[in-house]
Amino acid sequence: MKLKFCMNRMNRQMTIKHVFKMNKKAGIGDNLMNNVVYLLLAVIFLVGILVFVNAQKNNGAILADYYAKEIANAVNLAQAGDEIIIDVHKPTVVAVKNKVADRNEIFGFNNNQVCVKLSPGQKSCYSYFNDVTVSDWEIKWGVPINVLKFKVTAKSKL
Amino acid sequence: MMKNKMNKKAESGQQVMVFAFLFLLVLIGMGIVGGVVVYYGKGADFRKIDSEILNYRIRECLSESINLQQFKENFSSLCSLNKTVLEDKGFTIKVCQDLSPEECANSKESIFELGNTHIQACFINAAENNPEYVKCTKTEFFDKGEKFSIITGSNQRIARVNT
Repeated sequence: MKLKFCMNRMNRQMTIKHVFKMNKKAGIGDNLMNNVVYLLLAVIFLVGILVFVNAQKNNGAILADYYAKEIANAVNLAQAGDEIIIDVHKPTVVAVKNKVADRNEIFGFNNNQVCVKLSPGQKSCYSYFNDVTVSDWEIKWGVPINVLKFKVTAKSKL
Repeated sequence: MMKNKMNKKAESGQQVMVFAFLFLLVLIGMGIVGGVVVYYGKGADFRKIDSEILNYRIRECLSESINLQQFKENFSSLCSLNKTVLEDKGFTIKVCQDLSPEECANSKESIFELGNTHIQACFINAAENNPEYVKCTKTEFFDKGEKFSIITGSNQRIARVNT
């Protein structure tokens, strides 16, 4: 009788131990799953933020504003007879990506104003106070980067 | 039975934590998006650089001109500056003799003055960080034994044209 009781007790203890082991295994699986889900969410969030920041950085209107001002400053500091070459690789790539039909329209100089068009239907213009004429402007594609080349001449000479 | 109930409670607790995590991500995301929009939305402000270049050009031109009368009469051609652009695009210029820039701004006497903006705005400390105010450059220099003050300001904005 006593032996039977002992055997029963042992069996019960073994079963409980076994169940605990299984629970632990199940717990590890749950934890792993939870961590994977959190990690996935964090990665999706990070990628989304990076894509958004990059899209803002390469925004056509912002880049067009920046380059119009930068080129106007270069003209303001120039003297008649100067030939200026500016790295315009980034805006030209954005313009091509945005499907600006006429590539000669990306940059334009008229009435003491420089205009940059990086998206169809809109261009950004900025004036330069230097009383000169900008002529012979052209984009040189792939030398090895795309550059804008133009000449600054005195107004009275034309 | 009891254990199962406890496990279920723990599981539901963990599931609820996902919402807290998502809420945190949304909060951080809103902060980053807001920051990026504010930073890139304003665009680069070149007005201070404009006013510095203009000031430099006038200084060079003033020291190269033979006399003040010549400078006054032929300012535009002598300095190679386009008067129409300066007047229409929110530029301000004031040149004085024997005065400090601050005295020059308040004085009615000047060698040369151009623009409709109140030049006194260049001396308002609070205006430094206000994007609506004109961005100025003030210089004082000596040439041929004479003291000159040049105040230049730019309030030119980018023009977005629909094509």
